[in-house]
Amino acid sequence: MTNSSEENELYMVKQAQSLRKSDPCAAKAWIITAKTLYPAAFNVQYEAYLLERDGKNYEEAAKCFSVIATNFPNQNSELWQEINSLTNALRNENENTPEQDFYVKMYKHLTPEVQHNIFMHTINHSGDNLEQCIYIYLLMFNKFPKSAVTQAPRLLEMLAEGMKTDPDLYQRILVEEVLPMIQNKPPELSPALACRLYTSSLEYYLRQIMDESDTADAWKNIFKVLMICGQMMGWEPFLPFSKHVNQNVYWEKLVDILSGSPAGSSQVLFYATTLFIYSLHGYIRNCKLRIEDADVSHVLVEGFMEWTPDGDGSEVPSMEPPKFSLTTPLSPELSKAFLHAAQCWQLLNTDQFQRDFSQLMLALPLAPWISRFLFDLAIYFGHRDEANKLMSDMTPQSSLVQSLQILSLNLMQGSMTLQGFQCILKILSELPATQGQLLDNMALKSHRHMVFLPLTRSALVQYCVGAIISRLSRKVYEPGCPDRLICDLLVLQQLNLLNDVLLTQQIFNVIKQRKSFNLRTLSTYIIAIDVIEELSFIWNSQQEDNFELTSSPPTSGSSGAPTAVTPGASGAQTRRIGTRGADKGARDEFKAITRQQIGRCNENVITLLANFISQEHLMLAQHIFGITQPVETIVIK
Amino acid sequence: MSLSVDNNKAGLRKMDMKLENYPTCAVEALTRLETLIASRNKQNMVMQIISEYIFLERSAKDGPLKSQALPISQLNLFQEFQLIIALIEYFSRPGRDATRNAIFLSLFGSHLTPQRSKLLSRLISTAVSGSVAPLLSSAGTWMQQVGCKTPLSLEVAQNIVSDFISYTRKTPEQLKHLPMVGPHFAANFMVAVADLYLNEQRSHVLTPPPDALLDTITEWMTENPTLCQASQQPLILPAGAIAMPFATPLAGLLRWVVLAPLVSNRAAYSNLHLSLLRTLQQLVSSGETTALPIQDLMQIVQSLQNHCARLSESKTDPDTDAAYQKSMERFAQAVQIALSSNCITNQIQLLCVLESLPPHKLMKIVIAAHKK
Repeated sequence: MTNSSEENELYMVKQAQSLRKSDPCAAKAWIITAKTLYPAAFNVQYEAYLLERDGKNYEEAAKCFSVIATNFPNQNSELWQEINSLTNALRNENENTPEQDFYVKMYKHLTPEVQHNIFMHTINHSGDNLEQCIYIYLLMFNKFPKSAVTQAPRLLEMLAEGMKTDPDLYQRILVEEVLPMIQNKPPELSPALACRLYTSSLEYYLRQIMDESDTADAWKNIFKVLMICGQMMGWEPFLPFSKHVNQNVYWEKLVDILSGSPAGSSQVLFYATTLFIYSLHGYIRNCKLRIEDADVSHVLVEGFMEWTPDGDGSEVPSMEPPKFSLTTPLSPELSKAFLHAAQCWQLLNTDQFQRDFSQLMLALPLAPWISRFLFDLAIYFGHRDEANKLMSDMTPQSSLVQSLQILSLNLMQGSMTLQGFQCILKILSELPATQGQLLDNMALKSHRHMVFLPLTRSALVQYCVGAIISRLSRKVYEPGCPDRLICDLLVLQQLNLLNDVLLTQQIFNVIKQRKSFNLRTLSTYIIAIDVIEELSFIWNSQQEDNFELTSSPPTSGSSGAPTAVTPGASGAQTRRIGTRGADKGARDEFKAITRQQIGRCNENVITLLANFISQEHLMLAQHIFGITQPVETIVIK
Repeated sequence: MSLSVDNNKAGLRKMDMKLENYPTCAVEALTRLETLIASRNKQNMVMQIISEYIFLERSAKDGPLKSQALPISQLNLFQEFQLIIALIEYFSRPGRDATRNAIFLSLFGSHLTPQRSKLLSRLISTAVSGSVAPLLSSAGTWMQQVGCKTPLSLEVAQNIVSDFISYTRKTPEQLKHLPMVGPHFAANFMVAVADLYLNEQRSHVLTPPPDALLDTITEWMTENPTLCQASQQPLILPAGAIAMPFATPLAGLLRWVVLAPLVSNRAAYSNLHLSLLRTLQQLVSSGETTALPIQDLMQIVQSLQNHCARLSESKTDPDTDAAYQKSMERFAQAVQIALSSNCITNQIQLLCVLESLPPHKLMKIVIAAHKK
């Protein structure tokens, strides 16, 4: 190209430019002419395109654009700007400005070959701009689905690269945009890359699961992605996801695959990991339940073992894993999810998988779930030291839960420490508002068992009461057991008389056997009709034996409820209600107290017991730990 | 009905087709002509019947028709109107194009009495306003056979301009749609009408076309890019007739757009110019080489030279004359495109003439590019 023709070419383009606004037709006439004179000049062709673009002539503009894109693909920043505008417009076709709308319409007039070339050239020239490059790939796959087959591996590699710097963005692109495109025909990938993509997708969905309440879709997607990645790696297909499939079915399939796979095979690793997280999620999710319009968490705690005098007493800790007590309707499902998670966890912590699995766990945002799970697992297996250690590592929960867990650990070791007792007081001082219901099967005979305890008033008080009872019950069988201990136990036993019938019977037996019994808590804390009836019966039937039942109010030193026995009597005075007939007034008084307590039978026993433990904690501590107490009025004749 | 010459004439007379029965006799005559026209040796009789029964012509002396004397039509204004209606109806009837064209050419040959040519102009105007496609198709064929630039055609064109442009405020839709209804006629009409304006050979002054006409033609050209080629379609003629060469309006319209800056600055010329360039570009594939006859281009050159002569009289440098520069810009663009599309014969001759004009940068570029 000589200088003069370059100059002439420029002259004509300038002429056209000067007329572009005032007389577009004349401008076009210049350009048409210039095109016949200098068909190979980019300036001329580009000016021709601009004229059509400004005139919104999609078809003509498309022709000009095709010429430029075909003949001058590797030069000129102006062209790149236009291609950028074009691809940007295509990326969000539905929300375009009128200007972008032009590009979309023009695109439709380009030949498929030119369209495809534009994408490929853009990809090849996007240099460091990974995000743009990936979007162009997506655009191309959208417009030319066939290109996905050959180009997808490169795109996936780019995504993996991008995740190093911006995992959120590229995981979202991978999961939301790329996978749906390639799911029907997954490309062949290196195993390492495929595994990595699955891990990334899993990470993405797990974050979604942790943010949202409805998670069935996420799991459906996770299983789908697992299927795609499995296909890429030629794995034996796993089962598709369904909310209604029992987890046993998945586990059996996993065992099936495991039996046919070499040790440490990645398909088992990924299937088992997925299943583990699925069960774990089920466990964590089900730990929350709506009770009385409040979200109530369940906490895994040690159940109580009933103590019986005829037991061998040696208490050899059984090597068998504990059972889950059927305390609430939720328990079966919770325990199933927990046990499945535990199964997978154990499998994945065998030598063949342990290294890869722990790496996977590090990559996934599961820390809060895992620490909770490991703590519960340690409790479950009775690994006290480990549980203690894990508790200190755990993200701090509410002090209520923490107190409960410490108490539970305390009970696991068989004897309540002072710390455990303090936990009880702490729990009672922080009782939630949700009332809830009493649980069944909190205490069982002879076998260690676990309880999912809902954080409701009833359940928490029941657990605290149970803890104290289980600590004190054996003392009733000891000779010389103090009246105070027995009547305090009787108060506690009111919560559920039938729970430990043997114990209730033993308490009444002891009372009967004694000539004189100081029932100091009668007027304040005993309101259960069955107990009052039994006491009345003892009182009446033992009259001939000069039985004396004393109702001594709590010491004035304690902050106890005011005595209701004798309004006229001074607080420190001991009242004796004997059967020896001398004190007829006392007999009437006992009747009056009985009536009064019967009248209180509808009081909330939960609140009553919570108050009892708080108010009488010094006395209770003395019972449990033998700590010397300031002497209270105890009269034994 | 057997139709010997005598029989036929006698039959016509005998039947209810008496001359008093006008226009029934004219309609009947048209029907009869269809069969007569096919045979070459009955042309005289055809002419006689047309003259006698359709145009009601008599010789000046009121006697029977004499061939030398100019016949005079006896049609009164109302009968003329009746005849136009009858012809419109006749041409609207289904039938063969060849027959219709033959009858049209017989009715209106190339030498017409003033009465007949006036009637023809009215007939065509009526057909345009009624969008009578078959009649317009025959009229297009007629125009090409008699020559688009002959006085007769020019008269028809002038009449259309009068009827549809000069005497109306708004260009009627029928005229706007003419390229769709009768493309062949529209193309030939453009050839004729292009000759009427901005033509120094005709009027010694450059008279621009009426604005409405310019706008109409521009619209035709931009919206129907192939309109100029419409006249190239083969004609459907009676057996033995020789088709006359076609003309395209390109050269005439190019003269308009090139010379227009000298007398007008209407924007529509720019538009028309662009559509001409596009038409010229498209001609390249058809291999047409006579789209711009050299003599038409010479005529443009001549007008430009005249303009420059006037400039030098007023001591103006053509370089500083915006009008001349604009004219040359368009001319050079058209020449470049025409040359690159092979639409010009005698290239060398043209380039030499163009070189003799006062210089213009683009023209120099174009000349240099093609003189190699």
